[in-house]
Amino acid sequence: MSCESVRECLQENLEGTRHPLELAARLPDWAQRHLEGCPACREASWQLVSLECSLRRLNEMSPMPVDLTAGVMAALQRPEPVVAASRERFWMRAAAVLLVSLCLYASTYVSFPPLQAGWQLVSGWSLPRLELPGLSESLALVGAAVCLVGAAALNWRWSGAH
Amino acid sequence: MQVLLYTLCFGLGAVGVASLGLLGWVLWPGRARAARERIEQSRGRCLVIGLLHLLALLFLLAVTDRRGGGAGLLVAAFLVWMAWKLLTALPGVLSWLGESLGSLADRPELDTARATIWGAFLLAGVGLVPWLGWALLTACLAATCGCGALGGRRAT
Amino acid sequence: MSPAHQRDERALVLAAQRGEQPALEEIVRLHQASLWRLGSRLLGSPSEAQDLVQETFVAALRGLERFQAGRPLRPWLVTIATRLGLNMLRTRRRRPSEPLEEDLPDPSSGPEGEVERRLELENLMAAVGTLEAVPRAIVVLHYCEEMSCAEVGAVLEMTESAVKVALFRARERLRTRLGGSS
Repeated sequence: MSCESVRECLQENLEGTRHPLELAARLPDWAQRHLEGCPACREASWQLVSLECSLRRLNEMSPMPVDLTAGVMAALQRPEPVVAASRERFWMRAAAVLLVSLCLYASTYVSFPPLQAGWQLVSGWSLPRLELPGLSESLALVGAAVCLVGAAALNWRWSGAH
Repeated sequence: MQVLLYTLCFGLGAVGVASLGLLGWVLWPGRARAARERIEQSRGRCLVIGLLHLLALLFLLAVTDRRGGGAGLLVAAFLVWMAWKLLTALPGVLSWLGESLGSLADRPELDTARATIWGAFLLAGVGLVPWLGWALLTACLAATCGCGALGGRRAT
Repeated sequence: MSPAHQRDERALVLAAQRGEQPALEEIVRLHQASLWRLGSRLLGSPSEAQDLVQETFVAALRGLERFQAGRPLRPWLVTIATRLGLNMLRTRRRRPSEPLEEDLPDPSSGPEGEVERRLELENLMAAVGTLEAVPRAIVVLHYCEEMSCAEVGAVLEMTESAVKVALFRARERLRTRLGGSS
């Protein structure tokens, strides 16, 4: 039996003990036999029992330095900056992306020489084109939009920006 | 000959990915740590967001050269954004993969750098297996991208 | 929780949802000490723990209309405090945390055993402070709030088995750290 499985066994049995010192009595025979012959695991089990004793004392209450009731009540009277700001930030970002996209798209139709020269430069460089059989251009655009809006909505919901 | 080629692909892939991962831990430790917590907590969510982004990219690539320069530039910007998310989330995801592999191999006490290297080798190894491995690799990359894209703070 | 206590809490929450100031104050008074303990264990700093308690109450009391009266209030508050605490840990740029003033041993007061216990707790807190944010929250919720792995999983949106694995790793890290230093 490997040392790792004994360490796992130690931790599993530690969970159910009323007091960590009861650990040795709860171990199965194979683990006890291993502990008798393995000084490293024996040391680890002592350390684990001592750690568990300390960890179980983390729930001891220590006195609060100050009463926070007045502070909380005062903070409650103030407007809600965080929620409003995050909601605002999301819509600001969405609007900015939309605006930049529209400007870029519209600028391809503007007959202003420097802009046209810029686009010519850009159009010389091309991305790989993917052939998806049976997919019309409008359907692909709709698909892309649905995926992006769906991803943004899920992201917004899951990341807790609302 | 083919074995040699495969070994070369594996070695170069693993070393490349590991270097990217380690570089990420040095350059953006905060982002890497956040990515690892995100992938630990919500693998499914990362995968869904990442797959939606990949699907959107596929659709966009299917319309690029029918739409002129503007659309092409938008797709390029989207690609760069995805690459940035992938790059910054990669270190965290690699170290999580490495730690998972480590605990399977009875080595739960890997440090971050070693876990990142193990993760990179796992990813490169998976990429060598046709079909199933490629599907897993795609899922892994999608989850990484989703992990980077799934930003924001956790709220109440 | 006893049925009588549950009834009292329900009445308190309903009153607070109606916006009655004394009920809101009573909720803060009842839960601030335990939330402060959670915050100080999680963040390792008394002043940040105070900020956390305040933010938690503000978020909770502002969202109280969404809370279903009759359900226990404490787990809900703990969930909010933990998530806000994790946010604080993430945004904190590796700033060295202040020592826990109330846990510092004061050799002039109390018997020797008490000083030793306090020192031991401080060592433990320093070791817990070296864990990553999520494992640290898991340890604090499991030991400080006496939550089961399933309950911790519900707070952190993780599966029970993921919590168990993280707890296993965290204990191993703490054991090697404390074992090496002692």
